[in-house]
Amino acid sequence: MLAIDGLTVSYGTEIAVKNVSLTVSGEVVCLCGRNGAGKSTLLKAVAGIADIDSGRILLDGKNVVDIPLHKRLEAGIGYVPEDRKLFNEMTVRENVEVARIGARAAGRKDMDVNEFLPELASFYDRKSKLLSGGQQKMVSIARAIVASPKVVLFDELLEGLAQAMAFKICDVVKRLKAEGKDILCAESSLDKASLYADRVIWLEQGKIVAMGTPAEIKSQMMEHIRKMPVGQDFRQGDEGCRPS
Amino acid sequence: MGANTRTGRMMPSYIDDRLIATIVLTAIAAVIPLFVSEYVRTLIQRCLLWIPPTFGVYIIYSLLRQVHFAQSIFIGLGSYIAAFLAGKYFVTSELLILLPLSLIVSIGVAYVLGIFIMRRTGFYFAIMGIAVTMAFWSLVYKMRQITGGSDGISDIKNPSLFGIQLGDQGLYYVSLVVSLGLILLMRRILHSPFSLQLRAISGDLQKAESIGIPVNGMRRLAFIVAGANAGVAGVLLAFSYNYVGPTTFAWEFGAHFVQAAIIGGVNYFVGPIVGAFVFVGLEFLVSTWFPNLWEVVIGVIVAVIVVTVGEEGVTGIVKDLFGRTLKRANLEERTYSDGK
Amino acid sequence: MFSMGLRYILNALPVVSYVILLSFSYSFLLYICGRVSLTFAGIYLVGAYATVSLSIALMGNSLSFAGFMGILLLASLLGAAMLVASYLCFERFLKTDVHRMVATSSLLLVFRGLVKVVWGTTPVTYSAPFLELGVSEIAGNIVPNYYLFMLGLALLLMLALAYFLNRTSWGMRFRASSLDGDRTMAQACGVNQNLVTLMTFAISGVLAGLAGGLYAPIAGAAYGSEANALLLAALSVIIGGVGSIGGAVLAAFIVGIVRAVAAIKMPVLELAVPFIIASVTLMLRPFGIWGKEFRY
Repeated sequence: MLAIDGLTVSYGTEIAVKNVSLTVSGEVVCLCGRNGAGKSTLLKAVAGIADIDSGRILLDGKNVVDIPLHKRLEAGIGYVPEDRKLFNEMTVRENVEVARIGARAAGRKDMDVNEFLPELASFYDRKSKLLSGGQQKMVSIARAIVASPKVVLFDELLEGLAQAMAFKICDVVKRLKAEGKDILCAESSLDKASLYADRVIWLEQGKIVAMGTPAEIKSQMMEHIRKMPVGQDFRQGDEGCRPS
Repeated sequence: MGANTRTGRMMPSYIDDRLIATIVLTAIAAVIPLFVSEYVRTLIQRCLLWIPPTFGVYIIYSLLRQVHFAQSIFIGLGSYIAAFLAGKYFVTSELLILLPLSLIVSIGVAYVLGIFIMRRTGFYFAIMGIAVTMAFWSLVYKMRQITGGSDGISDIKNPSLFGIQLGDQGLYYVSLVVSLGLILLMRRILHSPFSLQLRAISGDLQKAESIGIPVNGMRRLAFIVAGANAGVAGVLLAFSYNYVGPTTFAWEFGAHFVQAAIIGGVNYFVGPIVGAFVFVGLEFLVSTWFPNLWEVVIGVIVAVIVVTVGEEGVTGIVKDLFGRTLKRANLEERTYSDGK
Repeated sequence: MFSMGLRYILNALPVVSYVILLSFSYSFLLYICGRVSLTFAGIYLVGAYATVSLSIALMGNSLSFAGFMGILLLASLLGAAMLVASYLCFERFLKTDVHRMVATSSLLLVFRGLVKVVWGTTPVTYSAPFLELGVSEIAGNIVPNYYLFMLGLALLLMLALAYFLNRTSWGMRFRASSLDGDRTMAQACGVNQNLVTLMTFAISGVLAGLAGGLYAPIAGAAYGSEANALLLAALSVIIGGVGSIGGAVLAAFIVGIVRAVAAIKMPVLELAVPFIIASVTLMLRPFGIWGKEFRY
């Protein structure tokens, strides 16, 4: 079970996530909201990429806040970044192996991604930069789950994927849930989130404003979304969290 | 600023402040040779002549975010022009010929080199700059018959201006005028659309190109401006040192101008001026006591400055300290007037 | 004609070998850590002086080649220690490439100045290992065995590094963290970036120190030789391409041989020639002969 308790993240003076608390247990929770609402930042904070100001992130009751980024995978957190970010010059096999070695060294049981994602087999020995967007997403997922994490984080899971691939990926997410993993996603489109999420959390300026099933949120928030001023859509925060 | 207007205190506007400072400093520089020894005057003259090449580094750094190690080429070109024409193969020592000639040669060489050096940015530019200085160095070093090889050319006569032979003092005032003129010219250039376009280039090459800025041409132009500055100063430096050797082309000489610019602070227009004075002053002070250590001391200072204040330099530090005392004074005044 | 060409190549071997090591020292750091650093030239200088001084102090005239190998090992370890120390105390605080270039060039001047204080400006020579190994004959050309030893060692190290990068699990982690991969994601996949950075600096320091030590018996340890080394190594990286072992070797051969030819035919252009080659390379292939397109 993943529990986030009073999490606050800021970039300089800009507060991206304000005192957010939520729990994910055995379900697929999707964070929605406009661009710059703090969805990505929240995921990055859980993954260990963004530094947090205060709050706790509990994984099965154990606080992981002080665990450095390179130990988070061992701790049981897998992260699939927004734009895939593969190791371009390496083959798919090597991409997956990097994560597997880390997990093995820590004494974690690794999982057979080829069995879980049979599609990988057809391009397992090709360089990852030569793959299509959907295939790269698949590799990115394989890399995150090879260490059999307890929690998997997906940032913009269905962004830029064709319909067929989107269904396939949704199916993967559902199978992961069936394996008993907690899944936390961020998705800017509510329609896409409703394809796979059990529960949607609506974020606005770093705070939770609504929570419920996709259908509930849709009916609740549609009016609000229509009226949203576009001018406020852009904030610097989302860009600024590359660690130096 | 806002606080001042609100409290109704009359502050002289920013430009006036600078104008006054410029005039005062120029006046000090103009009368100081009357009071100090010849040695100190030469030192100040050297500081003044270091300003233009440091400005070249400053332009490339602050506008393009590139490190320009190749200033020594243009210093060297100017110096050797002076040394050849006024020294070894005496033709003329007329500054009105030497300075424009060096300017033209520097611009020409900078134009040609710019094609090769400015092709890529980042470390490519820095390394190619160092490579060019080394190429020139070996050229000068090995053309012994013409350049005197490692012995260099010493015996350079003092120059003349309008046909009048200049004394050492005269040379000082020429240096002052030339360096002041170049500073004002640089100020003019930095307040022109040219500098805005360059800033756009430093942000994002592709974007700048897509809005119609001739990226390569502009960058080469900046390189030429930097080189021209150094070329002009090079002529006067040759007369000032009364010696020109291949070390003028050495890469570490070019690196010293980068160090001077960093010490001064590349965030400020006065940075290169401060930097030139601090660098030459430090070099003099340290080498009087520990002749071998000045490179080490200055290197460490630059490294510390880069790590701690980055582009702010000495100017930034002073401004910060000064600003804090000013603010404290302001604050005291305000509390005093508020607590009536 | 052929034998003439061969003679040039054989004469260029020492320069080629040390440029291979030194340029890869630079490009390895750039490729794996994304860090520009000119400190390697300072390490090269210190490596050369350390080798010569240690050899004179420990062995004097009675040279055993094994002892010299031991001293080379010491010099490379010294290089590694110095570069790692320079990273820990200093270079890790540098945030941008411009800062790194300015600060490490200053650091290079500091190293240079310290060498001047410790050893003075007169070159120190120790050519015993060079003489000890004798000569052999290749196709009618007399070539010192030390040249072949240098080249062999350089190529062997490059092969070892290639094996390490492409065949071992740590090498895979290095590649995942490199400019070709993604540093943050590598760390999220369990690769400790601090460790990778430290190891990269150490390997880079070994290569730079060894380059200085290997070349010292031929050219002597000379104050000012760091500029030449910096120039040849950095230009080789531009010519060969960042992060490519094959590129480093190829570029070192091109630069070394052309420079050797120029030194005899047109000594005036000796150092201009590498620059011209680099310029032409940048025009034809902006990322080097064997390089890939990076953000640099």
